[in-house]
Amino acid sequence: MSDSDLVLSVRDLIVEAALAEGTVRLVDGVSFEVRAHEVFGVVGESGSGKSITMLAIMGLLPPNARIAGGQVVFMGRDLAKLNEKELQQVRGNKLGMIFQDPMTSLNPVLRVGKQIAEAIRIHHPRMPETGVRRRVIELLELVEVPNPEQRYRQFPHEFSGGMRQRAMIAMALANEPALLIADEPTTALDVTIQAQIMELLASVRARTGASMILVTHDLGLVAETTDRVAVMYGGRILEMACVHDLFEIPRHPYTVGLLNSLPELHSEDGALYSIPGQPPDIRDRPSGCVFHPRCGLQQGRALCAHTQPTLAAGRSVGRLVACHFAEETPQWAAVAMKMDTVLEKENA
Amino acid sequence: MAAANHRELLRVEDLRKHFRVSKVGGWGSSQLRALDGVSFTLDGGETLGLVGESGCGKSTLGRTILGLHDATSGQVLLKGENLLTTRIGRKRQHRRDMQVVFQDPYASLDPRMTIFEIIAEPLRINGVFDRERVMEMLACVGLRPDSAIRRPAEFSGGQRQRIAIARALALDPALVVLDEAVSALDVSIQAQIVNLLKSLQRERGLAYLFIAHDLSVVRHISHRVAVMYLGKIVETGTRDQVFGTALHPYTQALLSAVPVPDPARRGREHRIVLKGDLPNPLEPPSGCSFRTRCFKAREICTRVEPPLADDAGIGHLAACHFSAPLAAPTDKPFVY
Repeated sequence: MSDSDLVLSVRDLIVEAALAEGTVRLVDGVSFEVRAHEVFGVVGESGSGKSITMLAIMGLLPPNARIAGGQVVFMGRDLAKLNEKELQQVRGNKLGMIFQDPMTSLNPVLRVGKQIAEAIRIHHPRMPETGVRRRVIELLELVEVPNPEQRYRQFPHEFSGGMRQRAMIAMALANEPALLIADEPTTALDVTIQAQIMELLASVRARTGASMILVTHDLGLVAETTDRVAVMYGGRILEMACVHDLFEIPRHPYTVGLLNSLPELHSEDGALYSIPGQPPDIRDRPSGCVFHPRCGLQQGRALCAHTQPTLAAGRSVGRLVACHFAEETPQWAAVAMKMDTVLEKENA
Repeated sequence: MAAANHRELLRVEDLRKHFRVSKVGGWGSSQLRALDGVSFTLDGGETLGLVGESGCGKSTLGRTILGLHDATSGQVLLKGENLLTTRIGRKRQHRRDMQVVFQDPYASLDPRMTIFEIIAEPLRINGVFDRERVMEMLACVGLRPDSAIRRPAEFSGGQRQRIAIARALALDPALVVLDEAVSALDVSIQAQIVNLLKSLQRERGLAYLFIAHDLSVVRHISHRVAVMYLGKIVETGTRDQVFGTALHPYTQALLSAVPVPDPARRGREHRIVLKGDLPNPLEPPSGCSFRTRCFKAREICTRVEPPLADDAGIGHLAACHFSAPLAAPTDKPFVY
């Protein structure tokens, strides 16, 4: 894979926030790459640091948080080193963003057409008025908003949730970005509308060739749309692999637990596997492996409690796992998951 | 996974709840039919899953049954007695039999009360306070005894939902309405709560009205399922009937829209992508309310509202003129 293929390269990213308790590390050494035309999935539960990582990449961290280390190289430039003015030239231009809640991301007192036009005008200040307008109508057509001429003049409250998300996507696509960062783009939407939006994202990506980072907690969406996946937990990446490998033979005990705790539409029922305990408090991150207090594989081994495992290549190509005993995972998973079904049969 | 006892616990008949909504501009008002003739039954020890998208009336149904909304018309019979016409005194007795767990465990617990007081409150209100009972409830939802003296802020979302469940079960109800009770939780925590709810049901013979938009969870926990669209039940049957051989096009679309967490199956099944949004509930379409988004709609659908009918006589009801299971997947996509 040549370097020219790389759209985004994040190296050892560390994000810290100043809270009342002192400085807290929200993202702890995250590294990943996004290649051209690729859909990269980032999954994790709330508090795993997945959204903060994206905000750091875009330079949109809240005022009390900052990038404390690492690089964010986007199309050859380190975004972590740019000032606000330089960042503004990247954001919304070659780097498009779609957020979860389309209601709060749109300005309620501005017409939708004007807001999309603004996204164009910021980066093309000399484009004539008629040109901008034509481009907005074109974008609304691209995202399949019916009656774009009429919709141009409407306010966000006149749009349904799905339509608002379409408008947001139009805005993100305004300047033909090389990379789209979609943070839970369909979480606030109903499942039939989610299907519409995901189909739309696939078709506009096919047309524009943009890469995408899809941040979500929905493993179904990840399975259906992404090429490679990173699993985040407690501010770190625990496993990263091609989507087929990850779902077929998860190597990290957390990934195993996550996949098995999912009730599936087509699978047989029984008790769901549930990961014991609670997600870690980032203000008091566990020593060693961040997952060890909830892990079924560690069996009290001192290594897990004392030494942080590095995200290392396993046996299969292109897979990285941060677990000292990743070799044992498949065997452990077989026993642990079977035990659960046995227990369930006893209870029934 | 048969229900513990098959006695009918709850019967809802032709329940209607209309809201007056003032028109834009402030002159006059129109009527929103949040519940438009809903009927179903629920046996003791059974779970009825109620699914549908936002605005379909599923939460209004739960609240109207609980008496949090006054019904416009219809009947809600709990153990044979109509709750909408009983005297206030009797009503209180019935309310002990019906409890609720809401979606947001951050908003549904009073932050200033200790966990002990939160669980004790329903007992005190009904004059049956018993210290032992409170501690027993804590234990049965898997919380440590020392949690009792702490306050909600010290607990995570999953633990708070355990507290809300303990409070709901304190009075030993027969029916618990679970209104999106696991929707706000992360999957690993959601699995813990779903398992807890199932084991409590086995132990105590509870009936659940499980309201949720997540079809996978509903399938996992329910014995029977009802699908709602614009204030009406459009399909109902056993879990396997509705999820296995859905008859109504809306149910079929809903099921096919759920992402499958298995990349190997990507692209295998054809997805039915519905066009457009939910119609304005203030001006529902004529005839069948789903026809504006339906891939099977014909001329008759605009004129005649299809009744909820059991065509095959097997307790699997659907409200569609063309109700039929989806044909085996073909290579051709659906044509609208």
